[in-house]
Amino acid sequence: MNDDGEKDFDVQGFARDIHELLVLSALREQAKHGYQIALDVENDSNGLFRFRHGTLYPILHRLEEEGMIRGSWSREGGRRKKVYALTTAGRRHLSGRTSRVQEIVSRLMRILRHPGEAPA
Amino acid sequence: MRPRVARGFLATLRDVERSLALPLPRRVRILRELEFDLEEFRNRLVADGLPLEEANARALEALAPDRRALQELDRMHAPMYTRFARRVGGHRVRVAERTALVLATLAVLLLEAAPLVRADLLRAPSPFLLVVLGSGALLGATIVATAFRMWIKWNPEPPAGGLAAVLALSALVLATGLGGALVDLYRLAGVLERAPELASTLVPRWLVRDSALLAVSMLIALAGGLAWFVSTRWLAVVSGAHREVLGFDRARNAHPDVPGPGSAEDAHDEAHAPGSATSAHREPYAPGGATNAHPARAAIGHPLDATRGEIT
Repeated sequence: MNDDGEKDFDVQGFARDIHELLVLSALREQAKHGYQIALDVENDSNGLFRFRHGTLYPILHRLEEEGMIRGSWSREGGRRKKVYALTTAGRRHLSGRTSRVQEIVSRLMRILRHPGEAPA
Repeated sequence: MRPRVARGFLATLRDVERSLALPLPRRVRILRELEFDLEEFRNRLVADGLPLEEANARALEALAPDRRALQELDRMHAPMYTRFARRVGGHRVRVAERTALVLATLAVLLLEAAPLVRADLLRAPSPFLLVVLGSGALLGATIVATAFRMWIKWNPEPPAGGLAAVLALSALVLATGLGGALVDLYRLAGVLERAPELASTLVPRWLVRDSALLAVSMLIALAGGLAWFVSTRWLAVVSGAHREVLGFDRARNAHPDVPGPGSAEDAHDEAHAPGSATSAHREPYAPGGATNAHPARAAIGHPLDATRGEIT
């Protein structure tokens, strides 16, 4: 905890939050398959964010386990496919964490642009 | 007809399968999801105008889990019992398992004997009934142990030995019951041959005693057979799904121009599958296409990497 009673900033946790938020955000409009999430994150960020080495799956499965997204199986042309949809809890989480990320980024920018100034 | 490059995915899927120490159904679910995503990712890139080989490599680079992703999946999907055993410690769990098995055997024996005692059928039982009850207790313990390994401990490998033992013990119980009734009848015939006046006493007693023997042995054998049938059916369904995903003996992955799985070409695919688990120790595959040229791309890798100041 810092002086303001906030939890210390956890870089590793922040990176994980970003990954999770990208996935949740990709599912905001409609349910998608894993590959669609990966492609949409890449396209929506104009190639800035890309999933590599299958890191998408641990994130998807963890979010599913935590009830943020719901995975369901269906069959298409003899193949089984899994589609993920955002749950109410996931939507709430996305909204809350987005505000937190925004706050962190704005604090960071303030430090980077005006070093030495105390935060307002 | 599937494109030729699907075989590259097959090699990767096999790598992933080998690297996951998870129960078969969970492995199959992960493989199915990965298989579908890899193919659709590749197809979408091809539709967008990317050459097939490059699309294939991009799909593998994006979605094929490397060692760390596999470890995370392994940890995340580990059965509840495995997590518990890791927390408690291997030795204590093994002792608890053995104790539970002994208790289960005794419980089955009691369950078998209780109705017989209540019906007063154990006062002068056929000697074969005791063998049937003993074998039945062993069968019950084997079923409990097999079910425990399959559905609680979720051993990654199917318990072929356990299922064979269930079938063999069921057959033994049935054979003991039927054979015992015949031997008892043969003995009764011998006695009645010498002293026919005892027929009114001995025949009803034989009927009651051996009816109990036959009924108990058939019930136990039926329960064992049912347990064997359910377990083998379940294993067959899961193994079938496993084979289907990995392309063994399935026409879906076959291509008329290439040899079947297990060929030298497979080995080549396996050795060159970018992003595959076995290639995870090598440098990550970088196809170097036009879309890779983004100057400020943040490839989403493992959260741990971020602590080193790079999101890759």
